[in-house]
Amino acid sequence: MPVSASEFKSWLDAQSISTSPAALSALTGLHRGTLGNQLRRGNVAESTVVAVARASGANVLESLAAFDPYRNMYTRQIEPTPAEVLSQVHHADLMAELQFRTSKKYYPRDLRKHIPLIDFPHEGSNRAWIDAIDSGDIRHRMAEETGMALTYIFTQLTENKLTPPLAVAASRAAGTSFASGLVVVGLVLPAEAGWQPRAREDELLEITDDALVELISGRINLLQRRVKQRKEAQEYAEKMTELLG
Amino acid sequence: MNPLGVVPVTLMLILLGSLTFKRINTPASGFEHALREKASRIALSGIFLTTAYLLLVPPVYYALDSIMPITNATDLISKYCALVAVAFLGGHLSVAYGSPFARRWTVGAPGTVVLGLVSAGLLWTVVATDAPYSSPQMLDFATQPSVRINTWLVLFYVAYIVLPLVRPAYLDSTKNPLRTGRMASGMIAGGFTLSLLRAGAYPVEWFGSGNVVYLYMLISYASTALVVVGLALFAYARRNRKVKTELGSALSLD
Repeated sequence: MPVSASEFKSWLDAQSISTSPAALSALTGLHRGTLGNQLRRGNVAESTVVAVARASGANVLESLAAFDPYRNMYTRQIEPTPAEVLSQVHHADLMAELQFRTSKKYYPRDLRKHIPLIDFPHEGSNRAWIDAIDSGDIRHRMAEETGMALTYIFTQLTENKLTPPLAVAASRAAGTSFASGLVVVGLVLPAEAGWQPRAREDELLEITDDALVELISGRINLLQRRVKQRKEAQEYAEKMTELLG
Repeated sequence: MNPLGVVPVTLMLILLGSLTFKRINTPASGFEHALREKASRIALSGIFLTTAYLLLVPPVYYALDSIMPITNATDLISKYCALVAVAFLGGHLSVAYGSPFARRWTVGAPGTVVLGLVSAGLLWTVVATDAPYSSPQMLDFATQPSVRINTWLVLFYVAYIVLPLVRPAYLDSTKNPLRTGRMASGMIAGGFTLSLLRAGAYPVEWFGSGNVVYLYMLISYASTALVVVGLALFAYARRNRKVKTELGSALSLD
């Protein structure tokens, strides 16, 4: 749900920033036409608010909290839970951790000393976050709150395309940080939402063996489903090219 | 010879001929695949369609028509070739896109009956045309009702075949996991839609005059070109093993 253009203009005035698309374009680097269209249509994307806030040196979360869908931002803790942080660790990194713990001789931790963890969002990271905060019926509650069809939410999760309003709805349903949802969907940077600089690495080192194995097991199940879907897609494409090519 | 009639036909012949030749005469498994395996009917369709256009090139047309028992019988043969090509294509695409309804419609009993009726109708219109001399596509007699019906019969048959295939082709253009496949099916769906539009707009064309007829013919050429280029894209994807290269491991992040 984008923010309203009139609210956006009032906010820009309050920040002493010009409301002209040209000036905003020069400030943020966003395309002038895109900004003009958003203002003309009355809906400004959240990413535009974030870009303006970053470019003007304002606090990104405080800036978002000035708009209707995000006003409750500070009614919850800002920092993520350990489960949320771990949800954004790729399964390959989880398995690397498993290997490091398995044998110092065969899998020395130093091997990847200078290699960072796989960036997020990555394939399946939205779904992993939802699973990490889900207490049972989170998808239904997201659908109820946003008025979106359940199938649409499933599709968004499968395609790793959760929108900021859906992320906020999920956080509200789960009682977790609103800011973390915005980090998970890629709208806000981890550092802007109270994540420690090496939060994921630290949580990975601290997770217990049984929790690590359980987490990997859950991810493997998801991966199995994804691999099956990919195989079906490949077979379909192969069939079409064989029949028509 | 009116260049408006000759140039597009020649260009189409070059396009069809080269793509059909490329499809049949490719190294490795190309020849085997094109003529003996699953896609053989596409190659046959290309051969028939190329022949149909070849017969319309004036030197070929006049030479062949001079030995025909009926004036402009070459046009009839060309149209029969085109009908067979469309029937092959329709039958094959209905299998490829997984539409049993389209298969029955195109090459089942209803499709055979329609092909028979249209073929008989074409013969009747050629015989009924008052044509004292040979004219490629009978363009010099285009104002005669029999020639208009002749053209409409071909348009009707093409529209009949492509009608049940537009939706499956469009759906594939949105769900095919391969980018080349999506583009190819999109072109095929676009070409079919143009064919339907021309057939649907034929009453307007019927009462059109002069060189407007060439404009309408361009729609059919564009439609044919879209379909054959779409099919050529599928052939390109197969030859270059795009499925393997583009849809690699599901585990890979790269």
